[in-house]
Amino acid sequence: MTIESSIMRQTPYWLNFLFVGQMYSASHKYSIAATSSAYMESIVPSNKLIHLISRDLTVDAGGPLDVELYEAPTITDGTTPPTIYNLDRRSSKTPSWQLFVNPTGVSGGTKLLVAQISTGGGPKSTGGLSSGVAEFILKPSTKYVLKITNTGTQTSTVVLTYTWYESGN
Amino acid sequence: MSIGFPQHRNYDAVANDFIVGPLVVNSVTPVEVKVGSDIYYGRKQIRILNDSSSVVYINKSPSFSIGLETNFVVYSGELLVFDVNSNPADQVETRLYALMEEGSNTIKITEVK
Repeated sequence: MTIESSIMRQTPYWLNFLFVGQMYSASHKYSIAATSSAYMESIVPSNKLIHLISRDLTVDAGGPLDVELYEAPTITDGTTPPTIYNLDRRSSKTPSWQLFVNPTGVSGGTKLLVAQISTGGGPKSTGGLSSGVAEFILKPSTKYVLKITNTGTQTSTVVLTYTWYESGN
Repeated sequence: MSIGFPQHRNYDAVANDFIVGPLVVNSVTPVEVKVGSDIYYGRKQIRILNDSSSVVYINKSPSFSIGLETNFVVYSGELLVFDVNSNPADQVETRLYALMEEGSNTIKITEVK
């Protein structure tokens, strides 16, 4: 018996993970006081690869904001997850990647990303930041923290959204 | 944009006849890959066209499970073709079964004589 396989149409790699219910989105709205920081902690499991394809922030009021991503920081795990949903609404699967919006004792780690969201700094200022075109594959059994710091004088409302898919290999 | 079958066919045999139809695949019990009530008598090829928004698993066992690492995986947009008559000494009919991980969906099957 011989077997032949061919591709009928161009299907992006990530789309098949959506079709097996392994693509997710998480979002959270923070209120960050002047000169304060907020965090999104994530814990990568040992048995899944996390492909982070989108990380978007929008800002209303206050700022500017510094955005930093750290790998393997010292951290006390949070307890509150963001709002998470499976992008395939037919699926009942839940993500292996753990996210928390309220870690404490955050310090150290390898800084991977530095960005700034520029705003006018006033009560009506706005701004945003979107991830680049490349996906981010996170290291298994590793913690990450995204730190958002309001360097301005007014409170900022920040919405953070992650979109990712999970593969076994 | 390619919407059909491969442009280059490397088969010597002439297709005498074929039958095309949908196959509803579920996530509870493997269903046999065929079009009619039984397999197409004398078929030489089984063409599994996954034009659905699901991933389908194929195995020769009627009781296989998704967890096995020995399944064929047919991704969305993939055409998988089994030439089941390449060995004339093989008198045993090849039967294939399909299963999904969650829910159910419909794919297209062609059996070719």
